[in-house]
Amino acid sequence: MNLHTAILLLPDALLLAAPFIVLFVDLFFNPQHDARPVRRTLTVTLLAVLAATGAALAWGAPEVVFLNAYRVAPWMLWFKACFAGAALVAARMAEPCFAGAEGQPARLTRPGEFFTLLAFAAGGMSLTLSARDLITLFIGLELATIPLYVLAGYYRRHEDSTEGAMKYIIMGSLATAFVLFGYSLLYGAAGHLQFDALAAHLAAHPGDPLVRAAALFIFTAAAFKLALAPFHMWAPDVYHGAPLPVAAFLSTASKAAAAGFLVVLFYGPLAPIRPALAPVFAILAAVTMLVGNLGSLRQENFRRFMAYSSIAQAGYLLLAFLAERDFAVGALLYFLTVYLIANLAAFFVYALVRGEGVAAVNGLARTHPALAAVLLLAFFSLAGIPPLAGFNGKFWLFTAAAGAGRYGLVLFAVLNAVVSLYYYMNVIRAAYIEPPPVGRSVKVPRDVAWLLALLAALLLGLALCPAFNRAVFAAAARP
Amino acid sequence: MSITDLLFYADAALILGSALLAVSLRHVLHAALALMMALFSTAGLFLLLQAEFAALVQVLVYIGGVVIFIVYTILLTAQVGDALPRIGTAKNLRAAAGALVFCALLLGVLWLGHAGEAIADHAGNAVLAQAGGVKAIGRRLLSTKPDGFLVPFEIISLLLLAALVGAISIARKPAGDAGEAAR
Repeated sequence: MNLHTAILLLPDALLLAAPFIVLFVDLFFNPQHDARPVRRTLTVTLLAVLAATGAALAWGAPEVVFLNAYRVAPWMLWFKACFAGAALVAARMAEPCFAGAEGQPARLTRPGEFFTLLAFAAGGMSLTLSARDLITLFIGLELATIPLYVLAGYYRRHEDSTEGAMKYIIMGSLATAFVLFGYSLLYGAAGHLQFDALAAHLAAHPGDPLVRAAALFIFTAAAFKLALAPFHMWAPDVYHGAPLPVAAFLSTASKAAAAGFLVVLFYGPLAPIRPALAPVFAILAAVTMLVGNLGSLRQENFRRFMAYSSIAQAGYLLLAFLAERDFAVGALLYFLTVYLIANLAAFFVYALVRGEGVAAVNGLARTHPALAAVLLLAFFSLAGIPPLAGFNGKFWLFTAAAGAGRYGLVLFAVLNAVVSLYYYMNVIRAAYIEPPPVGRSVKVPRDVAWLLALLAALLLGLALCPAFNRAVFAAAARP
Repeated sequence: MSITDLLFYADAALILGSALLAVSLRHVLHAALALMMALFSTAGLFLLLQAEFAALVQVLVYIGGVVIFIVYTILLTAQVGDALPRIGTAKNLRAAAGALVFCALLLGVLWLGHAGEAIADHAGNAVLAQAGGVKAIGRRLLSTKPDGFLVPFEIISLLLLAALVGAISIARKPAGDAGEAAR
């Protein structure tokens, strides 16, 4: 293994080591099983992952293939940084839940296992992207979802949480069955599991109906994970029942992983049949936007609101797959990075305010102007208001669809963005105009304040920073 | 029609019949046994394809693992003697329609693309040529050559550990619950 390979593999190695480090620290150095030491361990490990990812990206190396089976390319590193970052923020959000903060349905127990599973999920997402054969791809996807089933039901004596986790397991297993069936059809058609061999077969037989059916099955499974419209029913219930940090992780990293999974397949071995699936992408994107936006209009509960909002965002995200590879991956990376930051910031503010309803932030601007400002930036960015990075993210996605000649769809997406403006503004209105409730106490620890300031600065700064744009598209262009 | 064909149709009928029983029987334990039968006859299908290892794994994993696990779950949770609630005709019809559409889709795809022999040509032979017994499978699992599976083989251990940690953290009694002292 040369230096080159080592540098590109380091982030993955650290991310996969993270659950073990957390587990060992919890076992040997945490006799009281407190949340703080394990969370700190995870934070340090994930910061190391982020640093390693940054170093590998700065190194500017092209992709490497390890043992003929594990591929790391610059655009994957970007995704991996997103997973690690989302896990980092979710972990910090989760720490107070173990102390029995009021306003939560119950106190979480067993922090060691919680953070271990969180790290495992992030590691599994990272594995999914680096797969070069269908088996690794499948195992990675399972490693990314099985810990999330457990985390979604972590309030174990709580009915909503158990119900949500149960729905998640059943729908997730169904998606797994679909994806496996798709893989088996692919294997039946090509006789190989390796991506290179699959790509060779598809190049030779582009019209093979067996492969098309397989692609459809695999896409259906990804649609479940992304919560695209006809397959979105589980999302509001799962988000509603799951602990807030887990819902935040589900709506960010899990979505990014599903998008990455689609990139790996549909710009990898299945690339020849992507044009044939473009109408499916376009229709699902339109339906998903509409369902998500209409659903968000009338939500009282914050998690359900964010669930529908993230369904709508997944609809926008799907537009990228109409474009050619380099531009599509660049647009996806840009959109996902910004979406992750905005979503995590919004979830974090609600975690601090400790309310279940959307109205929990009423009058936040009067009592905590800085928190209200973070909320404002997050929701403006999600809505795509121009000076913020969320606008650029949406702009690239719409450009991707327009570049494929689907102007009607772009118009529909823009109209949807206008609808979404209404409900995002509603939250802002609550925070800035409604009177604050009596006796709300919001404590913001110093590290959280810095974290939120960083997220808000990124939302403002990334849009005004052309270097970010260049870096994203440069990483996407190197295969 | 050769004897292999006859055996295949007999086995296929057995799979279909027991699968139907598994979804239609209203006694949970009987349904589990019918599922076991369906999985067992699937192992027979693998034997007909001369994939002994796959047949062995099918019996070990599905019958020795999955079904036994299901039976344990039934014994530990449900009232074993109770019948499952009756499912409405409308629901049954919808399920049947779904299954038929699925079946038609697959048959259509196979018919359109391959009309019989093509699949055996480029997939079946390749699989048979590569498989070649337990020894070859073992070598391939641990091989680092382009057609080896060392990386997924190692990664599975991560998945197992994650599942174990998850299962234990769900199954253990919460600390401080029901008058228990906090740990």
